[in-house]
Amino acid sequence: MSAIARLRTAAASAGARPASAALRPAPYRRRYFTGLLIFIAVALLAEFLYGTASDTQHLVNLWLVYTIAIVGFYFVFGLGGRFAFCQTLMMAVGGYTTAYFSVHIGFWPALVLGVGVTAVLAAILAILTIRVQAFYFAIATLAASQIGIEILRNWSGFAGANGVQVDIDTPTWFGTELIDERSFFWVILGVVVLVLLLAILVERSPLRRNAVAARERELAAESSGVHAKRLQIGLFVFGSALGAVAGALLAGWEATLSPDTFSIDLAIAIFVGVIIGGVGSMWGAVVGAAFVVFLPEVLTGLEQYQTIIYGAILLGGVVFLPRGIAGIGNDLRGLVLTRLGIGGREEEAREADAAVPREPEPAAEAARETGTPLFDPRAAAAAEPPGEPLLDARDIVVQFGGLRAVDGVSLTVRRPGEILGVVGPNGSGKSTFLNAISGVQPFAGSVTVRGRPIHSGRRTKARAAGLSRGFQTAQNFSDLTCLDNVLVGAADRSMTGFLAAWLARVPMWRRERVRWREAQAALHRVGLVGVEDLPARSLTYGQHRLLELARCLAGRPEVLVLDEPSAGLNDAETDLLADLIEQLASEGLSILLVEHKIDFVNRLCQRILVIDAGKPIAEGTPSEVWNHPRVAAAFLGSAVSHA
Amino acid sequence: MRKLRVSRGLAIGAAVVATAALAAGCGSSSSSSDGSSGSSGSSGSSGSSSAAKSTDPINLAFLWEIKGESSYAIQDFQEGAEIAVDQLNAAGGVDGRRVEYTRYPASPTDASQTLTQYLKAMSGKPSVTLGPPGPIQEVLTKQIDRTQVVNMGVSPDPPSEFGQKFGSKYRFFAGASLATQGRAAVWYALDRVHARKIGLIYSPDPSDAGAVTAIKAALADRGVSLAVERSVSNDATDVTKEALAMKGMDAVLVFTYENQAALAANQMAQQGIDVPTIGYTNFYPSLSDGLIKRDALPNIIGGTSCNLYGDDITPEARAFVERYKAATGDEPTFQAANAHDSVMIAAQATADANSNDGNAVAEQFKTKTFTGGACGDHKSTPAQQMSSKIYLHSFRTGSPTLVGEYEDPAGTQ
Amino acid sequence: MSEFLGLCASGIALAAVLTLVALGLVLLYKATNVVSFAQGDLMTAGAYVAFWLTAQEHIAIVPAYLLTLLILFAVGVAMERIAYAPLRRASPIAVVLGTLGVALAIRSALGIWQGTTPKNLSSPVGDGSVNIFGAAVTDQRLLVIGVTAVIVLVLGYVFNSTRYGRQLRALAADREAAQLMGIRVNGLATIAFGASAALAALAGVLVAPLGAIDLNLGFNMMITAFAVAVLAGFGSIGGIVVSAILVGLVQQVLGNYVLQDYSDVLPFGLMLIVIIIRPRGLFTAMQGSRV
Repeated sequence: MSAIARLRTAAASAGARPASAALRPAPYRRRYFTGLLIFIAVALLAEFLYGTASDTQHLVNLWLVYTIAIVGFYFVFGLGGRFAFCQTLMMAVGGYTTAYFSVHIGFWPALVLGVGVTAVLAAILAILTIRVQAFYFAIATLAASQIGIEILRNWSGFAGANGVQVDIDTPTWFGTELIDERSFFWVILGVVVLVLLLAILVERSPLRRNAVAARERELAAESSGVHAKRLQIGLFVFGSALGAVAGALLAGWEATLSPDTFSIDLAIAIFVGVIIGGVGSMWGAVVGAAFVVFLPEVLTGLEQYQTIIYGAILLGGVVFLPRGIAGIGNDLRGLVLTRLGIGGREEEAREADAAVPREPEPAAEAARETGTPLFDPRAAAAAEPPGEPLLDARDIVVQFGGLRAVDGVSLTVRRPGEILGVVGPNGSGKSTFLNAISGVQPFAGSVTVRGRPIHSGRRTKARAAGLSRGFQTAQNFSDLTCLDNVLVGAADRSMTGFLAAWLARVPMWRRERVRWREAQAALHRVGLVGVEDLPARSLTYGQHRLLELARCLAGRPEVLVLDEPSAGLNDAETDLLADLIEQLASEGLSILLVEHKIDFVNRLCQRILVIDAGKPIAEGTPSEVWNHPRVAAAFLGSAVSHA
Repeated sequence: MRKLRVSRGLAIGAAVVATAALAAGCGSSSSSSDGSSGSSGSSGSSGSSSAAKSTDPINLAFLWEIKGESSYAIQDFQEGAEIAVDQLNAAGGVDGRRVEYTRYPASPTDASQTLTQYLKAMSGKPSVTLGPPGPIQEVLTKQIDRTQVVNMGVSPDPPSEFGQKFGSKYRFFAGASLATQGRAAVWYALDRVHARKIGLIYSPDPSDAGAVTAIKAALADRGVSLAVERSVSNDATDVTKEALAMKGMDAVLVFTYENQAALAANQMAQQGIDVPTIGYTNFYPSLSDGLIKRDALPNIIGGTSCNLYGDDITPEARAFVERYKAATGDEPTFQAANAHDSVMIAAQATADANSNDGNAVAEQFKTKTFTGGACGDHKSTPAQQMSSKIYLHSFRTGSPTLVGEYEDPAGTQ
Repeated sequence: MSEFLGLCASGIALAAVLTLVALGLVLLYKATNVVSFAQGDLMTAGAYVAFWLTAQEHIAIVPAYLLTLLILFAVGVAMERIAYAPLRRASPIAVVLGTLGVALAIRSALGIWQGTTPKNLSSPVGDGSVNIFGAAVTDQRLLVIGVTAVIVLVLGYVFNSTRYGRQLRALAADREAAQLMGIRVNGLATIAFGASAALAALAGVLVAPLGAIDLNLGFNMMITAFAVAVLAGFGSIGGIVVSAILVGLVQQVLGNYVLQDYSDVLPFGLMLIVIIIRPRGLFTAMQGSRV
């Protein structure tokens, strides 16, 4: 069976699926709760088979406490993508605050207070430093940790002489003092399970895909409507609060704290945990914590050589296990499933590169298929007061230092379904102009979509105003499935936060179901069928274009902005894309098209604006524009490609 | 030799794994005994018949790291303690009982790791634990009270003295208290130097803070107060600021770690502040490591409860110095001698108590005078510090020369 | 006044050492995009190797120091082979973790080799001092400042006027374009690793006679050098020098008059404030390559 034929079959079966049974995105199908049960079983086995003396029980407890801290760091780094060096500081702040107040108000209220204080501190730190990128962020948080630990060392009234705190109230649980390792095991296990539940609820929520999107491509995520920075601050605070929980438990259980416990060594251990366990998965954190606690035990026989060996294992781990132990686990599972003939959806990934875009289907058909209208700008247009132009950009100026990259460009799209082309030689400022009107690039001037303003440099605002954009090279989120990619651009952004994930599951589910249907419809609309579960990284170049287009459509835009959509496509693909754009326009979507291929522009556009050196030089129908003397002059010498 | 030691460690590791596996096999029986109290086992396995003298080996646990295990670890405790163990066993053991030990790498700085190592040590059911060095010993107080296994500190720590915040009736220290060290320094400054303006450089360490308290109290008793005091952190690499602040003093007391003590002395000498610079044991390793510049040497006065220097020392001290040199090629330090004496005291007390019971062992520590140590005789003070004499040395000649002996009145009350 | 001058001198000497460490960090970053956490322990290793050659092998100071730089250059090259080459395509955190692994291993190996008691490296210019307006400034400090000044000038020349420097700048400006232009990125990376380790070793050799060598000597210094590099926006040599002087004076002079207990972390406070206001550092404008 040829690849195309197979795809058509897949499409047929997808089309045959009843409209109500919208596909659940992959994260919702993963067996997190089974994982949790397995984790509990392993913890119990460890406690009762291995933990037969207080020292081994101590290690099991340490594993559980580190699990909390490392799961926290998974949220900061794994999901949030923030390379933070301050998880140990958060543990210390949580621990010392709990210790200090436990003497006055008892352990558990102090723990809550300690976690609260840490969360506030983390929020302040995050808000101040969230603009700082990559390594600078790492070094900024490292600096904050150094300062914080130094304060604890010096503030003897709060943290004990030289930061060694031994005045910690022994925690009680309904009247019984928790003094031995076993009784603490139950308490810590309870907290870990609670923490993992919270984590699972986040994993099984829209928050996860938005976070992954923001981590991978902040610009594209923000243009799709994800408040990337706000989300990362949230993840940072949540992860830090988990660190504080771990620190507080450590304080109550070991009845002692020292600044050196929270030194760079522990920070390394936390990185090791996340990396060795596997960055992409919260279970990696659990495995990594075990690695961090039990590896030194295995190495004790090596005496003074253990640090060298530890360093070597660390290096070997990152070199040879780039996806961590959890990654190996996944591979093994996939292997076993394949052997057993249970083809998981992952297997389809290997066939993905054979998939080609299908002929686009009319919106009506798509709507019939899925039961929901994908978008209906005409309805929206009817509701709007007449006279407001769909897109109105006035006197846009973008300045780079002394250079005016865009110098007073204006354009208006009045008619729903109009395709307006923007052309110009290389470096004429077309893309910069697009970046400006879609809120990516700060600009002077004004942009409105049906009267709703798009503010300078406010990326998420553009989408909210009704403008979606594609990028010059398709910006998809390679770690997400295709369906999740489209969902990132969903128009309805309610119930996507922490509170919805934890407290409003039912309404969240209801919204999600609608979003799934819409996202699936958008995929079908652009002709991507049967790829829902494939990771975006397995798509071909042409498919990436379509996937991005689907994400744009999922935002239910009134104006679609495309930046050289045909770049890199072959002739057949370009034709399919042109058909698709024509159909979208015929259904009432207004499209602003920046293009290089003149044939493509001439075929699609009723009107063309020509920009040169940042200034508009001509506007009109294709034939008017191409006969304009200034246009000919501008293009003279610069390569005009005829596709 | 080193290879042998590694393989012993491996053997122990293997034994621990095997024991754990065995214990796992019969989990039901072992989980019934309370995991957290290691001491209960002492009466269970062997010679609980009280009258007969036990012939079981004396089992000690060492709680310290050796070099390579962390950047603060020093070799001295292990070397000194090994010499004592070999010496005792070569003489046929203590009351015919061999002395055995297991070393657990307890961190001198990380409370969590130290606690883990202590719990591991307890699973070996030792009669006495030695270490960990430094203020970190404070974090074990609750555990020591719970397990009732005698612990010997191997470095002075005022908060861990009996009667202080982290003291325990089961905790002793073979050397002199840091408070005694502080009083000895004050005595020298006032009665030998006749200083009027006294400056102090100290580390924020709780141990040194205890000395600072004693120094201030001793000065106040004589109607003097400190003219300047400056703290330097334990990893400072430049103490120009603090050294400059000592201008105009008649004597400067230095209660910091050895690196910073040497730095302070050097930088004061460089700035022309040539006044007696009185420290405690901190200056001795600075001297042997060659950290003190020649210009600074004449100013320095060190103080220690172990007189290991010069010709006029006890035969036991001389014997220890010889053995230590033979084994390691280095001069022994106060820490090595102290670990050595701690092992001898711990072994003798265990043998005399004829039991691993913590109360019986502690009683021996409290009441007996232990003779034959490298640092002289050891007798517990009320604070359970087993030495109260300080030998003060001048470093003028490049090797410590005795210039005074101070007997702490607090030790004999 | 003499106190103030003495503090300034020690602040500037500290700045000189920080400059060397930060230069190594930035050089490596420009060539490979790696921020190495092994820089501090390479510095410590340099001090120990110099101590070994002079105090234990009794080699004359100048050849011993040159040999030290050569040995550490080789260590740096080896590090590139072991810890960077296999991770070229890995995530940045994996590379950082790799350098941390190397740092741990180096520190531990030094501890086993030379023990943990502090060592004294004698100064090549003796223990004398010069009186500058009443403040005694040791000869070693003057040497540190002098050598650093020479290194800064030499590196400035290399960066701006040699083929290697131009390639490096091209690489820092745009990796992909540089690769397309035929710059041998891998060869440059190897040299950068070696040179940056040698710079770290030089810093170690120069700073050790001011205090003592111990295993934590370099790591703490490196963290402060991070602050310098960030203030300088991982950018120009001039920016690094100015930032280092700022940090040295803040720590030594300001730290003497206010917040005495916190003088070690004052540079971090300074850096944090700067980075919050200017997320790319103070001196980014001076640098040719903006990302």
